[in-house]
Amino acid sequence: MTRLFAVALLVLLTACNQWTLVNPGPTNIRSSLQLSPTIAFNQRAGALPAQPTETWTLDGPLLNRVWILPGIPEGRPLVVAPSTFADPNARPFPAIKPTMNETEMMELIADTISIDNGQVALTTENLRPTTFSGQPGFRFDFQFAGRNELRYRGSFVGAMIDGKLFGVMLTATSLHHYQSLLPEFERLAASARRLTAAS
Amino acid sequence: MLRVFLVVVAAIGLAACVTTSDATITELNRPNGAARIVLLPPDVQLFELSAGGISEPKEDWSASAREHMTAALRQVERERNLRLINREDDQSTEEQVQVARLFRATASTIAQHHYVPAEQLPTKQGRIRWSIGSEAGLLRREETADYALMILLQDSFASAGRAAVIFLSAVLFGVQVEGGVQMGVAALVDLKTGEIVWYNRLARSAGDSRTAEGALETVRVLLTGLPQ
Amino acid sequence: MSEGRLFDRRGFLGGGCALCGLLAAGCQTTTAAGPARLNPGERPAAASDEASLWSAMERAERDIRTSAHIVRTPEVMEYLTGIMTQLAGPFARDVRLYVVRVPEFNATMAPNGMMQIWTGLLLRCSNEAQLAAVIGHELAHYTQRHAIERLRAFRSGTDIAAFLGLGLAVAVGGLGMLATQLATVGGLMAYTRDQEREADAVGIELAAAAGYDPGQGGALWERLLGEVARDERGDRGRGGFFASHPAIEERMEVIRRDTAGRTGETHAERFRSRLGGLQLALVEEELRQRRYARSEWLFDHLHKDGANPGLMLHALGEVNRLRDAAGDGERAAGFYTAAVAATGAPPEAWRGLGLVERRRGRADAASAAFTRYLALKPTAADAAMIRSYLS
Repeated sequence: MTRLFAVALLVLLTACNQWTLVNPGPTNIRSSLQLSPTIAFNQRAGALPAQPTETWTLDGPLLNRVWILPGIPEGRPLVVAPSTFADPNARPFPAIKPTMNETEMMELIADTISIDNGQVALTTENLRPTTFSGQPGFRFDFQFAGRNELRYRGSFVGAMIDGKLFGVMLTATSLHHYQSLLPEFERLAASARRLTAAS
Repeated sequence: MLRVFLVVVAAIGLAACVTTSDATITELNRPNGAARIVLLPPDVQLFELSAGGISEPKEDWSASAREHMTAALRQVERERNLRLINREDDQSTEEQVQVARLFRATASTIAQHHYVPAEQLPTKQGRIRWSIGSEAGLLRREETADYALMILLQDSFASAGRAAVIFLSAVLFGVQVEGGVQMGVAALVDLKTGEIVWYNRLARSAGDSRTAEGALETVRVLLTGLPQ
Repeated sequence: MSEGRLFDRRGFLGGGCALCGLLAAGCQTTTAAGPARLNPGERPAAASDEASLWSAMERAERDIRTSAHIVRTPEVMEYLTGIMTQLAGPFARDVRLYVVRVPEFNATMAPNGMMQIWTGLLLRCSNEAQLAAVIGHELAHYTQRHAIERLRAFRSGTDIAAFLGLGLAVAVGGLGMLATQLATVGGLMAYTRDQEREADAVGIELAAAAGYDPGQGGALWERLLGEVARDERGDRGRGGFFASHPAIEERMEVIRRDTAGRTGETHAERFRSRLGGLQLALVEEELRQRRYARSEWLFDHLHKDGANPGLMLHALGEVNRLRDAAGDGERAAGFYTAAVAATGAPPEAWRGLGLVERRRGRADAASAAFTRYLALKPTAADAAMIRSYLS
């Protein structure tokens, strides 16, 4: 019976969880990260206050999405509510530890995406140093086949700053959407600026 | 069980009879009179609703509905001066399969993000503006086709036990439970640009693709609003 | 009861209890109102409900054949199909085996003869005899026509709950779903306790007839129960489904009783060598689930069973490195060091050693390990980052 309530809850949540417009130009995410898109995006307004990340999309999250991590603190997972592809009873997602190195942050992000997409086999590629918001950071690419049999590619750019994980991630279909959105994603990643109380 | 069914019906947002189509073009490219369209194998699934409101796939119904739909499309092809080029699943390369899956995922994305009010994307400004990219051309079998058409249809029918529930719920709860629903999508993609140039959604509690006449009526309704 | 998920089909983990109809002996046992078992090569009568069920599954199978989630390594598939062929005997031409990438313990049998084994099950088998027990069990569901029996029971209104998951999956999934997602009638339903008991009994006899130690199926159950008892999330969800079912213990007891004193081959060595390169992928899939205590218990037992020692010690190192609780770093370093000294350790064991040594502030040891890793795997996914640690 819990499943029935889950369905009803989903319907209710959908009703009050609409997409809002993100205009081009600087925009602040949870007063902790600033991004400056050059095109308009759709943003999922947070129906779940506990969800620490935000999602933008151009054509719908099944086709393309930009996932924004505005500084996830120690002890918190990246995903609070699993997607419809995930096991509804998915165990608590792995959480951030300040002692993580770049390989382990990549593993944390990749494992989170894998579990959230229905325990898919996910391949990570080309983990390398970069800068994010002027700080030493890392980036990597990945690909996987969804449980809907569509192939996806993705890229993550981010950094651990003062023990919090900041970053942006593009996930899109290997056909068309990934290549089409990549230039805007690169601009978005380059525009990222961490906001502090002083700034 | 009844509650589940009602919640689901509410979620889908079924009205008594709805078809709503939207196009980004006003007329089809017709180089020699007939518009040349690759027809992807129609995905037709028929179900029987049993007493509990559970859908049981009926493959024998589905198989004959697929035949009726194909015949009906041939008739509509003549009526509307189209040239439909059949495409078989088995002849596809892996990349062609991926393009067809992207087309399908795009069709279901449109169903969700264009028609469900709470899911609408503000950047789309209420219009159907989706693309599957220039790889759409891979769906072409002959260089001469300009478009590809995808048809998805789900038809469900009440079993005897289901009919009893419909009656009982009306009598006991004053609730009108759907006896069966027909849901469908037809989408046309431009093979050069990859843009979805026409899209129609069908959701109604009538229609029957199990018979030749019913399939023809369903195809006509599904292709309502297809640009001339 | 059911999560109604795409790949969540009740198979090996079903219910459990008694009746028998032995495929090997060829006896025509039918359950109370159940259909007679299939004959080799038999197909359902045209226009029957069973024929409809078969063609729905055939459509699903067409999609599964091209799925990105199927293991296709020719040597591995040839080996596993060989095991099934031997067990199925006269039915060998009627059944097809697919290995699906899902890191959970399960196997399923569709009514049309499409058998699926999940990669999580392969990881957990210590030898060929354990896998044979599972395959024999699934073959019995096919020959005894359990799926159509359940479908008919459901339709007559005696067992609506069995199909709850399916109905929801279909109704909520809507138009975007693939045939693989829709045509799961044969898979989503739970079998009855009687059917599971029957399948267990047939599976034991099939394995014994093929020369395997028939008690290995019980050993597999026993270890699975031990593993799930360590599940951090308290045994909910797919992997833990059975531990909340006392019927599983009951089934295990019956299997133990029926196989007591019987012996046969286990073919542990052949199993390990023939699965070859797939084993690292199986371990990595399990590690991705981040159920540290449970995975650690599993890898430890596989290691004690004599499975590929370098790989299992590496896996134990990985669990400790990823969990990173008090003392885990030191333990991880110990496991990695033992792994690289043993046979069969992947290059990643050197990377793991480097990462934990670096975290423990032992720069020289870290550099040595990283250098070794890059020499063994210069094209690694994280090579550029590791190189930056060295400079």
